[in-house]
Amino acid sequence: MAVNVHIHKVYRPFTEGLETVVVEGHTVAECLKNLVEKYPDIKRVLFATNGELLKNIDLYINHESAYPEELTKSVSQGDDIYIHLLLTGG
Amino acid sequence: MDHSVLRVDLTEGKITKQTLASEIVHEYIGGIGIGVRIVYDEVPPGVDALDPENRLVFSVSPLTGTAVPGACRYHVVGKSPQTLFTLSVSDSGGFWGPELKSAGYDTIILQGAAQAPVYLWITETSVEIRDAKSLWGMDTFETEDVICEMLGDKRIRVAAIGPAGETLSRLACIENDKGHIAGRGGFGAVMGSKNVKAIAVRGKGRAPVKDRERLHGLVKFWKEAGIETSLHKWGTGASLERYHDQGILPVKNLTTNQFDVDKLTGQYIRTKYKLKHKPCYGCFMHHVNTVEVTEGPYKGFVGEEPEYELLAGFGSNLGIDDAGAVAAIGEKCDRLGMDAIGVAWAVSLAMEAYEKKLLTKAELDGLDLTWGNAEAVLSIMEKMARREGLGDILSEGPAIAAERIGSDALNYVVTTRKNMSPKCLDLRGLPGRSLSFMAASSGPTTEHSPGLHGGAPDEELGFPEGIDMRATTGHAEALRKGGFRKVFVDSCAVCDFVIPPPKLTNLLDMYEAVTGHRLAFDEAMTIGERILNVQRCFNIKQGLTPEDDDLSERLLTAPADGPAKGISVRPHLKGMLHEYYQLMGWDHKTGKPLRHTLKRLGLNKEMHDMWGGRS
Repeated sequence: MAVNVHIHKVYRPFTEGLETVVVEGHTVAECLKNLVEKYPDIKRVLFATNGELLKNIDLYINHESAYPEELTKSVSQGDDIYIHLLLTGG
Repeated sequence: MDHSVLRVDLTEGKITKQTLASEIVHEYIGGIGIGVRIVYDEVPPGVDALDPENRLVFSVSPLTGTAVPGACRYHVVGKSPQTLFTLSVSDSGGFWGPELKSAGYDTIILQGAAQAPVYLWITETSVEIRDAKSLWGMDTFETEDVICEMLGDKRIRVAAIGPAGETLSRLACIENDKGHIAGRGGFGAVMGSKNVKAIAVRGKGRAPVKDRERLHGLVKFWKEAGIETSLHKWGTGASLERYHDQGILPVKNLTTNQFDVDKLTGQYIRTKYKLKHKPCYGCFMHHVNTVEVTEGPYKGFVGEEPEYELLAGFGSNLGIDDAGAVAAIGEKCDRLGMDAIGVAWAVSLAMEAYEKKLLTKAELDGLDLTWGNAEAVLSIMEKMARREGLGDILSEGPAIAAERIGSDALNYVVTTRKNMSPKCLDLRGLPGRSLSFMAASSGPTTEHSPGLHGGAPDEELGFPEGIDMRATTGHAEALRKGGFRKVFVDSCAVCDFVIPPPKLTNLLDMYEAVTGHRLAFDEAMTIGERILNVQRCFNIKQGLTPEDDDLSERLLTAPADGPAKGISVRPHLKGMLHEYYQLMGWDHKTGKPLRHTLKRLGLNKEMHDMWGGRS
């Protein structure tokens, strides 16, 4: 099903400047996999070498946090996945 | 670039205005850089941190007070009463730094000591040393209010010490703008030893900018990048739940890694409490609000939204699961004028000692200092600030307190060997952060927080794949480069939170727009390296040895539970430190920067100080 992935501003160079990329998938993992298939360079800023989501990536589905399920979380037709940055400290 | 210095000789009652040589500004920029340079040049070995001959340097940068987001910070540098012998650095946000700049000054040097309590009153047209006897004894917030009232202007910005600074607590901080804290290093005590209660500033000048149009475009990009972050949405408490799940949240003095954090997270606070935005100068990040607590024993409390360090340090670390209690404790700590991180580790040490019967209720003046007892924490903090009862011992900081409590307390205490406790993390699952804090020249203050943030890819530092934070290799190079970059950022006195990646590249664009001067990436990294090496040389002169680059026993002991159960960083740290020394160009046996390292950085004086012979 078609899902909109909203790309963080600093990562838009990896998607040819696009803020939103429409992908296919039933889970967050499938959607991000499809995103990487379309724009392979974005893989290294989203995923560690072991395939886990990088710890500075903060995902939202329709403005609700995807944590802790994150990659295994289901999505529906027309959902919006937001890629934000997790900033820590303070 | 002119860099204006106000030198205040408190012994003589003399005020001098100076302009720093341009080559100093080019090589050290501002903020931490200028502070480190001055302290190295003016504080010889053997001068105690509380001696009038110590310097306390407050410094901003060419970017301060401009439209650069986050260009609101000021850095405080001096010999630290907390570490006992190293140079330390602390910094704070809010509005005080930009106000100092508006008044026409980039740096204040405090030297000597006044005979009786004073405060400084600085404007564009005058600088006065005024009587502060009526202010002595007031908490920091009261001091700000009373000074503004006395001087008849609510827009005056005040940096003040509280009772903790007056009693020379080693955990005393400097506070400004009702809750912004220059916490680490114990500089509130240095100010107290000089009998300086506060520095009040008011200015109307405008910071110079070469290319306002370009700056405006860059600000727009930074703002758009910053809004799509957890910081903007939930504050620094956003990461609490994740840290707990990763086993790096401190719980009950690191005696366990299991805790219910549901009511401590930034997400919980911003969903349940009433919020009112409380930004720093020129900042869009929304990372702190004023909150009204809407539930629990502290319902109705209005104060600053607790940040991560408080939620972890005063929350899970003390067995307190209520953010409202943490908010109340945090404000008390700010008003008393103490470093929240140091206080948190001192109190958790005392709680564990009490639990294990090394301390009795009688020794605690009847306080039941059990895990989770927020009221007892409030009481013991008051005693610490006033040096009453056991508070007098805890006020010396966790490391000295452990020595004085004795017995197994030395095995409980969470500290580096430089007597400063690390940020509120359980480092035991993070070899890279462990290295960072043990190697930090000034105790674990901000300049050694970096490496790669959360292990994320960092192309500009040469780590396109990032780094595994649990791995035991690769961190020395990340720390070296991350340290240079962080120190350069701090020399620009810009809040690290607001700079989007690639951090240094983006900051250098801003720097050029403001100053008209384009610094190359390598130049900026060299400036950071230079400052770090001057710090290191200062500490070596003051007696630092490689044995001081180490952690306490608790931080080397494997966690009893949680994701890092049974894993100790101990077997790996010496090797990692050895690698770090090598990459930094430091001697393995003495920890001194090598002659060729210092020569390359143009540090001839330091080369002579370290190695003798002709400069």
